[in-house]
Amino acid sequence: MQVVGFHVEGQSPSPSPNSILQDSLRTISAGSPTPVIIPPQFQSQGGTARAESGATRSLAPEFAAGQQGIARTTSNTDRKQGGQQGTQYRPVSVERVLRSKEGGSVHPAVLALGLRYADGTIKGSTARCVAMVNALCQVIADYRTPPGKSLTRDLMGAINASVDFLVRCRPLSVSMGNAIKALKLYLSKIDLAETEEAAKAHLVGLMAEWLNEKVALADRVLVEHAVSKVYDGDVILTYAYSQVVLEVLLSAARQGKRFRVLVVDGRPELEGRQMMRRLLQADIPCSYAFLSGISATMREVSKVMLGAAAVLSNGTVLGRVGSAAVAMCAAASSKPVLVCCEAFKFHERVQLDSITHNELGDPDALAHVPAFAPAAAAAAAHGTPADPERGVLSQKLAGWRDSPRLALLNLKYDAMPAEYVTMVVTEFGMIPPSSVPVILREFSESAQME
Amino acid sequence: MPGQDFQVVILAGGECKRLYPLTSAGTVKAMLPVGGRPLISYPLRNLAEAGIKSCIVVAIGEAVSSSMASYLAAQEAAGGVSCNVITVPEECGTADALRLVAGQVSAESLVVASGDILTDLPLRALVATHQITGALATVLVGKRKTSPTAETKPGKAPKGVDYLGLDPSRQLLLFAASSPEVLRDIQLPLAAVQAVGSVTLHSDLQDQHLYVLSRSVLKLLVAKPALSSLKLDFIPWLTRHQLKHSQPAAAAAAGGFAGRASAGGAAAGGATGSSFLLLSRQHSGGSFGSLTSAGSLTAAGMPAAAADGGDGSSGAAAGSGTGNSSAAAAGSGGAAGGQGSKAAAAAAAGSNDGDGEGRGAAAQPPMPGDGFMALSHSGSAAASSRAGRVGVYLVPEGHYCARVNTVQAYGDVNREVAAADTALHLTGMSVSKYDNVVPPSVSLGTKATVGPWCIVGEDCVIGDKSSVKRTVMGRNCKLGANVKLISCVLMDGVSIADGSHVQNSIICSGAAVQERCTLKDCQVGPGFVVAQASEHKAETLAKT
Repeated sequence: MQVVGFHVEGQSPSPSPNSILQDSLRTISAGSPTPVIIPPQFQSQGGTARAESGATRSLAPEFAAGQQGIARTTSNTDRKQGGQQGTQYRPVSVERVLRSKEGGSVHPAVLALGLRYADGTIKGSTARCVAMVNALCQVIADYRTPPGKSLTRDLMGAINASVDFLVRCRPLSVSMGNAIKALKLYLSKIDLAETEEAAKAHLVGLMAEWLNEKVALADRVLVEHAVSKVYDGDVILTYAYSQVVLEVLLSAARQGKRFRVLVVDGRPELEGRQMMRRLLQADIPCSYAFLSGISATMREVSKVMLGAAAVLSNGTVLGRVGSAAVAMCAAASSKPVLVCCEAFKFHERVQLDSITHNELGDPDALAHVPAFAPAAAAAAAHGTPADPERGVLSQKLAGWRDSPRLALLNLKYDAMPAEYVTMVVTEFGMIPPSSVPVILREFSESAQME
Repeated sequence: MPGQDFQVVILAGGECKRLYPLTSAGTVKAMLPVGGRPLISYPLRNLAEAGIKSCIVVAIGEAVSSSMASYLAAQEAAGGVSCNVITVPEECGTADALRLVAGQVSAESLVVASGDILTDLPLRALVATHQITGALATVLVGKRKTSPTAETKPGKAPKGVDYLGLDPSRQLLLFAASSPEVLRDIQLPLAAVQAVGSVTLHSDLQDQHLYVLSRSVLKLLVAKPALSSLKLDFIPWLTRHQLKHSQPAAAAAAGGFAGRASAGGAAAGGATGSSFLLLSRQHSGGSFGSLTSAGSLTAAGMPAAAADGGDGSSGAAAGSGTGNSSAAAAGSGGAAGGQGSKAAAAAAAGSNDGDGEGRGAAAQPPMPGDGFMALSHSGSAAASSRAGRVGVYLVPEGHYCARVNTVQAYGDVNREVAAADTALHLTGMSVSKYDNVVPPSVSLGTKATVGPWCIVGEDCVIGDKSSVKRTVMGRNCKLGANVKLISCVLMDGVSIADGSHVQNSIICSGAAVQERCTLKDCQVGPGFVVAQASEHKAETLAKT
């Protein structure tokens, strides 16, 4: 949208870009019969603008609200980070949760789980899914049907309430969504003639079986497939932390294969350090590199093994932010990219870029850098101590919130197009990314139930 | 429901010698006026705001309980917190007093607060954090207002400093040492450092004497009669011994911190993630069973399991409320950061309770996916998880927390309570348009001024041309003409005659200052009469 810089009488002599935009919109729309739809990024910042009454009557409600500046103080982060209201990063704390109305009625296991999601204690697609199934099974076990209600519907309501609470703490991952779908499917097929205790035990048993089959056994089979692709003398590159890639490497080491690992890490999570620790505990030779050095290190690598948070039906792989860059660099250097992902992380949707479905992290995490000597000394001089976990606040970004045109965007995931991926290793074997819809079709829950 | 099942014990103290002369002539510390209200009213108000209906108040000595009795009854009748006052003998320290009261505590967590804390901290959030993280105990810690070396000669060790050793994430308390006297050397056990990797020893943090203790800690306290003071003896002892009890490979220690080494070992070995196939409740499950006992707060005497049944929690969980804790004691050895030690703490409670539940060796049925912590990406979180350890709760930004334990603190807190930007909201009063609190019954003389951040009591008389700045005055005070009061605290019934200048002093009830005196940094005891035209600086004037 082009900003036309004309002066509207009554305005201050040097209007800000926002007010210029507003005025241009107002003038354009004053005579137009159809409302002009303005994307949320460009709506007013809750200022003093008031449209003429004649103009507002013909405008669409969202536009009118924007013009009148009704209670719309969009923060910097909101404006720049995808623009939609309600998607800005909101930190979750114990006090806030207890004060909210769900905090009073949700099961304590779910409450504790939500808080652990929010503070990052439980990270990782598999871990979150397993933890959620664990908490929901406890909800089921502690559930008592109120008199006059049916178990199926009421328990469904309780589970929905728990899931809504978890979503507020942290948006659901694809694996969690699939687990909930399976649980609801099992719940809907509960035999109504069963007693409550038997039904609950049956349901918990079904979920245990689901976990066993989809996660534990799938992991085992997947590891076998993947280990067959690890040869002696390999240099395997991996990015950040992936539970299943770790298991593959440990299993290959146990089988006596001789290879070394290059762990590439990316800010702000720096999960690669944890990967390094676990690999070193198993005496696997490792090196550590940062994402910015990937093009230099790619030469010596023989294959790239990545984990995934989800694989979508057009073959796009969602992973930790930075993994797409790794895959692209590997594809450019003609190195094979193996994505190890169990089938319960597959999803039927199609995603073409990283922005449409993503998750926002704490923007302050980007402003903190690892505390090495000069940064730590500078920060100590400023009075902000270095926190070994989070690092030290970078002096260049110290006042970033006060700067009106600067926002920090901390995305959690990114999307790797299918053309960079050589093979997706699942428990059903090693498939090309284009075969993901086949797996989804053949081995989905409803297919298996029939 | 975390944040629900707890009881509160307020230690109203005894006749405090440190606050001489404020506490002479029959005034006890709990009834000292701060901002016009008795000191004990502030913790009670905090409880009332958190929705707590009853608490136990421990008075050391008959004098304290009789002074407080009428006030407590009045505030309870007016809809405040109902207080069960327990009197303990006079030589008791804080830990001794708590030991005597321990039998009356039946809730899962116990909040022990000193009666001189002024805070607006949300208590439920603190207790919920304690319960959710499965901590052994949680200590409220706030920043010191002044540097420890502010009043010390260079080269000498400071007095009255708390030395707290925290882990890097500031969640665990690994070491505590404090003394009202000078501490010349402190010994930090190496095991504390090795357990966490690095320990930061803080002297800029203060233990605010508000502790959340789990049942097992109470049992430990009862078992150790040698520890007399909570802050000086028990908390340092607990921080030293928390490590002994949370070792994963440790055999079942006396006192109920049972950790089955094999289960712990299996958990540690399952770091690669296939361990959750072992569907045993190794990690998180155990503690939540006990959390479903959302017992009421006035559950004195009602066993927690009965509260379970009353709440309609599952029948399976009712027995498991205490029963799962004994089986989930296995989980307490979880090295990968489960909070099974909380369950172990509950196990100690359950096993020592003797409440007659048919527990036996009934294990809580294992839930699928119990081993999820081993799959999580953030292994470092396990190192600073509070499960089974002494945790630290830093006073969050924007909240006020202060203790009135010295004469200097009394003066400072009074002035902060008078200021709307720090602590006036704790009193429930609101300022006039001149930023002070002056009730209409006060009579001001001509050209008398009352500056901002003052609280003037009812029925005071301020003479002509007097100026009152940053002062808290009690009821029925009389100021003559040309009196200057700066940064003072006056209790009830004080009279200051014409021409006196009083600065930075505390004048107790019934005292009188005669004409043309100058007092600076003094404390005047109750009923004392300062002779006219005398000058005093930094003195304590009291009837002996």
